[in-house]
Amino acid sequence: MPAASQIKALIVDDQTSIRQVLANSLAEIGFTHIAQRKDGKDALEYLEQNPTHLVISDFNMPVMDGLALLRAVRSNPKTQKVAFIILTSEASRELVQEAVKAGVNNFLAKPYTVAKLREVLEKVFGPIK
Amino acid sequence: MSGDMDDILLVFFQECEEQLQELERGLAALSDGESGKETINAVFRAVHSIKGGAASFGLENLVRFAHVFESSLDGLRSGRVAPTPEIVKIFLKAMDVLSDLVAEAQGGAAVDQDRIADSRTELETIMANATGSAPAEKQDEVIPADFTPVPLDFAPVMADFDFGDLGVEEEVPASTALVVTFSPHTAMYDRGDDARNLLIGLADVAVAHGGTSTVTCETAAVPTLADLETEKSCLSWRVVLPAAVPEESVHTVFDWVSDVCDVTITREGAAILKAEDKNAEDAAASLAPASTTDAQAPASAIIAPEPAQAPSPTSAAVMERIMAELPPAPAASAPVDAGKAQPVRQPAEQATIRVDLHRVDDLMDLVGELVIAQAALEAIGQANNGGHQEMNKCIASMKTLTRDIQDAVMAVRAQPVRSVFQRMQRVVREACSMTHKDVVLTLEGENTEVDRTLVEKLSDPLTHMLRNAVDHGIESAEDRIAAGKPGTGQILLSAGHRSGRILITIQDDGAGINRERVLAIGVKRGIVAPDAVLTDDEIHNLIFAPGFSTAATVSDLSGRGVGMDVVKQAILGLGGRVTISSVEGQGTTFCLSLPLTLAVLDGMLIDAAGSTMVVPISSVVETMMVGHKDIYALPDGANVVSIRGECMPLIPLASVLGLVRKRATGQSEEDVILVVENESGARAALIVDTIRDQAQVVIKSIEKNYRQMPGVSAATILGDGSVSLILDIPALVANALGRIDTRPSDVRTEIAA
Repeated sequence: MPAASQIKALIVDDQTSIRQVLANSLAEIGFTHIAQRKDGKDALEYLEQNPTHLVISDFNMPVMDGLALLRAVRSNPKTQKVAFIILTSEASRELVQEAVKAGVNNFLAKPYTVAKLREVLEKVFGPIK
Repeated sequence: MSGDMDDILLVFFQECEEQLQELERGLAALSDGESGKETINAVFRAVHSIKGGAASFGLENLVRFAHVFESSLDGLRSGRVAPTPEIVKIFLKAMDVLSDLVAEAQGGAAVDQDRIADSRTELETIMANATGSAPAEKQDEVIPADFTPVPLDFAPVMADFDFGDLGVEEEVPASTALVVTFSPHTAMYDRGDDARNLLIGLADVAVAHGGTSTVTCETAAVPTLADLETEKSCLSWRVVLPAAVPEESVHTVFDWVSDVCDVTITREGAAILKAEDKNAEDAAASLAPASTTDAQAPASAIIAPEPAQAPSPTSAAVMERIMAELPPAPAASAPVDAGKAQPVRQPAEQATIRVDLHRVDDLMDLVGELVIAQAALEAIGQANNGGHQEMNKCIASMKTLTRDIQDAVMAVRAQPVRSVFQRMQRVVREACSMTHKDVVLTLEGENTEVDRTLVEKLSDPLTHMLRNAVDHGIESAEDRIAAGKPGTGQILLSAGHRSGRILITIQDDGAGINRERVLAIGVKRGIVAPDAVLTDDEIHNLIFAPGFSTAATVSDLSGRGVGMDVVKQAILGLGGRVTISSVEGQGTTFCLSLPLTLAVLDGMLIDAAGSTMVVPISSVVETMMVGHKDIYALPDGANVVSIRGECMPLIPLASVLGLVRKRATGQSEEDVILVVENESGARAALIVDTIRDQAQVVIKSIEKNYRQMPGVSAATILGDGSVSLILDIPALVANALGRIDTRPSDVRTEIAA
């Protein structure tokens, strides 16, 4: 049963506003380690350097999208056990299935509430203090 | 939190603007036949992002429309829909609706429901006609019902990382780890010292000894909100440093605050550490691993309030966030200095910042004053010349610097005209759909940079001129085909720099200006006398006359009560000129010449009848002395001067401006003249008394402070504090040419001879 403040999170989305909303929601749950990156490539660079437990990533981003990031994360022994949650409003079932195949831990559908976010997180981490 | 949300919403709207621009660029590329995967993705992503954001902020109207738009773009992305011109047109229309919906969400005018419905239907038709596999059904629940979230065994994941800060699997520093507890007194904050700097200092020490520091924030002393005294210090920290760190290094860090905080330094074992950690578990925060020394700091995103001058960081949450955000210790150069240095937020993400426009404007104003002050200083230096060689040197280098600062500020304010130009695509599209014409607008030189005050002011005149070009310039498709032209009209909007000004041309391949008709209307409206003989240029310029309108019926478009005279006034107001050239049957070209900035001007200082005046350098072609043998009098009393065989009107500046000239023309053997020209290249010679200097002057509006005067465009303040007038050369040239003749120069030469 991890405490929210123990979980080091990384938010990946190309939109600053979406990142900030999500960061606020995480902070409300009690997260204290919240980093943000604007695309998959930057996120990988960050993950390479910074131990992280949780990645919440958008699907559709320039440079490197969420699916490519997920695959890269899972193929790197250093990062493969990171919890990966995809933030989506994607209407495409195929992409969702691709993500499942690539080893996504859970999905967070936009728009979401803080309660929903907590629920999605707890399905991955177990109850969060 | 609502204040926060408002701020984020603002960010979202800014992003929407960017996404819409991206969308416009992408769709423009698509309509140019560039249907690469990247382009299509960018277009899709733009709409997708707007939709996603709008959903988060509960902007229902926007979400609903963006969703339909996105679905049909998805058809494009998956190849079920081909980007034919018709379909791109539908997308462009949808983009306009989307852009209006964004404006509506920001509190703008409500968008017409029918327009939304129309566009929606069009988009849905695209999907209905899509080839290949059936369009994806709209799914409210996107995530497959059979998907089971993949739970994670939290602890094992941690084990893969070399953390050291997680309660359970905590990797405790060596048993002799150096533990520092640090509780600042209120006095420390009062003095302006920042706990964060000290913690950074400790992190530096840790790095210097090849380890990392672990920081725990002690929040137990924080009282409940009701008892909270905002000025009082109540947080303390516990920092675990590697065993290799000598105690002296820690003392050095706290050296200069030792009187205003409690510091204990102990070497402790693991057991105590663990116990302590449990208490402070919820507040646990650790500095990023010290191995990271490059610039890719984890620039986290919650923007922490700057605590440096804050009375006391009483909110534990805030401090924790700050801690979370601390960049990895910078290279361990000087631990002592690190404590004093300003905390540097490393901009890992953005290479640009958003700045309030008024701040830049204030800066520009100040630079303007600086230019004046510098000129004043220079004037003093010259007055005392010889006495202060050193001072003059300083003044000279200050002059260079002033100019560099000015250029730098100008560069900050400079913006490509792209934003305005791209907006014109929509103007043309709307004009086309209203007039049922087919016109392609081509943009050139969108990257040309001009002062942003100018960029904004270009929008209205350009909008009007382009509407006019579509409405009056381009013929109907049938007429065009009858005239042997392609049915689709072309308008070219281009921008470029030319001799310190920006030149914008609007060129259509329409019917050109019908001179007989224009002249007839001019006579009918009483703008010109019935017997007047006008040159082609003068006839063209009639369309700028107030009260002139050639449209047989007042069309929905151009007849909105604004005439071309308003356009001309707007351009003149910006210090610009409009010229027209037109060939019947081939089209019309409008040429706008505008200054790059509305703030400063390179000028030549001249004297006429004892007054010092400024001639914009950009309009001076050359300066010379001319003998009287080269000056010819015309029968109507005006003079022309022949320079290397070219005749041009001679403007006795002083008398034109109504000044009493102390020295009549012709008394001395030679006169000083400035050969000047207007934008269309027409030249005239100004007779002046002397040329004084060349200087950069700050433009002060004369209309605002006095009133408009013919022949004078603005005023400035010279180095000696005196007010000087800036001459409106094109007006003077036009005036002189009007009085004399505008026939080709060889004809004039004959007459003069």
